[in-house]
Amino acid sequence: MIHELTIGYLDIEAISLRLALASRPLEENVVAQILTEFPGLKVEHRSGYLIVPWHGREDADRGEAFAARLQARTGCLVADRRNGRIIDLAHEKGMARTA
Amino acid sequence: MAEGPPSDLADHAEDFSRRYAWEMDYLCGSRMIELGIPVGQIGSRVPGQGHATFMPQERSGGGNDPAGGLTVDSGVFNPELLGTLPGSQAWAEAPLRDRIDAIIAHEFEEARRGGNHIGALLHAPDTELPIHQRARQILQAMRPKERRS
Repeated sequence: MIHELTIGYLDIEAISLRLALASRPLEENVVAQILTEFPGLKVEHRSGYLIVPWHGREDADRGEAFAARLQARTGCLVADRRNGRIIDLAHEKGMARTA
Repeated sequence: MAEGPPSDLADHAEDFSRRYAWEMDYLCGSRMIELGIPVGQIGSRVPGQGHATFMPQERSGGGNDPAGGLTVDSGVFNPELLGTLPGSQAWAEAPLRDRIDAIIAHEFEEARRGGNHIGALLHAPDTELPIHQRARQILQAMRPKERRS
């Protein structure tokens, strides 16, 4: 019903089981730098990964944009953990247009 | 002295859900059968819980896995689940049975579109599933403005 994006160097097998496990933490300096571009965005810091709002939550567009920026800089994965899916953000934009 | 329920509504919903997980699992599974959800889509494999239709530890209202399996979760008890977004008032005022129907219909329509949330928002109000009318009204209120009739 509502969705969040989990961002990090995630274990794909774990995501398929709806679990978030990071093989290593995200680069803090990069996260901090990109966060300055998204003032006020609600970001949850977990063990080596981040959670931001997505579909069905306030600030979903900025949450997705933040995830895309971080992925572009670090090559990390973005997932809809609750639904066991790795998210291709470029594909998502196409889906939104054809919905 | 016994502790009271958590003051945060999402925490309270999860606390309640954990205590009534078995009953909710039975209720949600039964309702999915009544609505005609294909057997293979009723519930999902949950680590430590086997196969379940209700996930008390989650807070999103409901979900659909990549194989199309539908689940409901503790968000169904949270009147503030939708925050300030469209449909939030209809959601907050609806009884449990209508929230469950709304979640099942939304997740069913999302699953048949490969996890497309926007597609589910647009199409769930017109679902062929025989959901309660008030559940349909929740879904209509959630539909993006440009597609409301």
